[in-house]
Amino acid sequence: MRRVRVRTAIMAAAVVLSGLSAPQAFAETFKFTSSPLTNLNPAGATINGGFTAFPAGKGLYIQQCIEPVAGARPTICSDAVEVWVSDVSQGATKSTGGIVVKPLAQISGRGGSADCTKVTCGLFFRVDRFGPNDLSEDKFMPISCAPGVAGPVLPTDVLTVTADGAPLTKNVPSNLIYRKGVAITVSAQSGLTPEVSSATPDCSYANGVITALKGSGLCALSVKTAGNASFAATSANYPFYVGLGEQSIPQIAAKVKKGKTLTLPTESSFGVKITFTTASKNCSIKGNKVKGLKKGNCVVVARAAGKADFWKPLVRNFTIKIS
Amino acid sequence: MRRAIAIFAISAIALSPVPAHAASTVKGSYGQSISVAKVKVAAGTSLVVTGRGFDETIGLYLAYCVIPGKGKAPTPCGGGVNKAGMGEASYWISSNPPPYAVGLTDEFLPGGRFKHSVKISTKIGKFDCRKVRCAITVRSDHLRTGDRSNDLFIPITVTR
Repeated sequence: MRRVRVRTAIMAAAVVLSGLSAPQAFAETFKFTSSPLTNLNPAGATINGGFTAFPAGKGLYIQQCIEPVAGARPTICSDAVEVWVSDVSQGATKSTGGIVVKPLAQISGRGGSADCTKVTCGLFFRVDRFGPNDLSEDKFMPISCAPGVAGPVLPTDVLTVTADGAPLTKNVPSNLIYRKGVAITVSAQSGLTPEVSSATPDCSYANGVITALKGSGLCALSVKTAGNASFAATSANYPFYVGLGEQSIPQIAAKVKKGKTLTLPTESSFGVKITFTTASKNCSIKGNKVKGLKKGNCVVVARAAGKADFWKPLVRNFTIKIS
Repeated sequence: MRRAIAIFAISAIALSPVPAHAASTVKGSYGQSISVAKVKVAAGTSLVVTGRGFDETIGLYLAYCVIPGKGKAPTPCGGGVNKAGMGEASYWISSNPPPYAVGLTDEFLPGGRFKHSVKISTKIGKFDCRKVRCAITVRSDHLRTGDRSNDLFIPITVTR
């Protein structure tokens, strides 16, 4: 009887301990339904799916990956088989539309390569880069291939991207400031013309220039190639930290005659009213007009207010020669 | 007595009509604004509309429209919804248009500003702006159809 009681106590403790030590389990909130994920054609398959529920305000990546160990993320995921789904980020596939995934028999990515005819692969869902520590939507859905001959294994394309001549590295943030355009050049080893776009609404990309439309947060440039007979379709994101812009004032005439008035600009390059002051006795200032009083130099201070999350305040001294 | 005079003075200020030809500025919920130099104009006049402080990440339509019911998108508008980005009755202002519209839109100036001439007409479609209220309007573009945060109106009186 005592042995039974001890065994019961041990079992009870084990239950409690297992409850305490179990890894944090998340239940994803999305619901994804699709065509079958098994018996796929190894020479080339297409999975057509869609979301019937999607986490509000978030974005998800769907990637072909090897099966992760329980509680962890996969160590190898394909760089080529990746779909970004988001209703809040420009450049992403909308959750309300059809989702198409074309899995490969062989995958390769930053973590290495894997043969999905030999190891278990599947579709791995995770919150996008705007929630790097959010594991709540992590989910692995295994896929399997039918016996047969796998299609050719194509290497991912090598993309070369520069910003104002400086090389960019995939997934490594660079810096950008409000309204200072940065010239982007892109080339692909395949010789294909990459498709470039801004992946976030806070930046625009046009005519080879990326421009931040806000002065804080994160932007990203999306670069994709379609793939050809020698290279797999490849995509990459190049993030940017966005900082406060530097406003400027238009060119100001450097001299004015004694007794004459010089009109100064009223607004900075960002449309902010400029105020002018001077401590010089060679000139006087009223509003945006400087009057030459005596021959010599007139030092004028121009000030324009900053705007939180957009640009810095401007303070600039300049000299007007009174002749 | 002094109180009565004060009340009379305040009432007189409050009741005195704003000159119909006066400049007008309206402000939106986050400080954005549009301005015109006058609000009483002859048909065929082009009014310069100045916008300031808009969120540059959201595209806008600037147009001359019939004033809609509260909370509804302005429609109909002179020139219609200008997805082609042309015409002087309406403008599509966007610094981050979708790929199909690159080159068709007018970009914001830094600081969320714009300045465009909008032509004022007597009629918008079958509506006569001498009988119904028409206005210079801005609204978020068709990529944010439900977003009413940028709806601003400056009512215009058409003189002939």
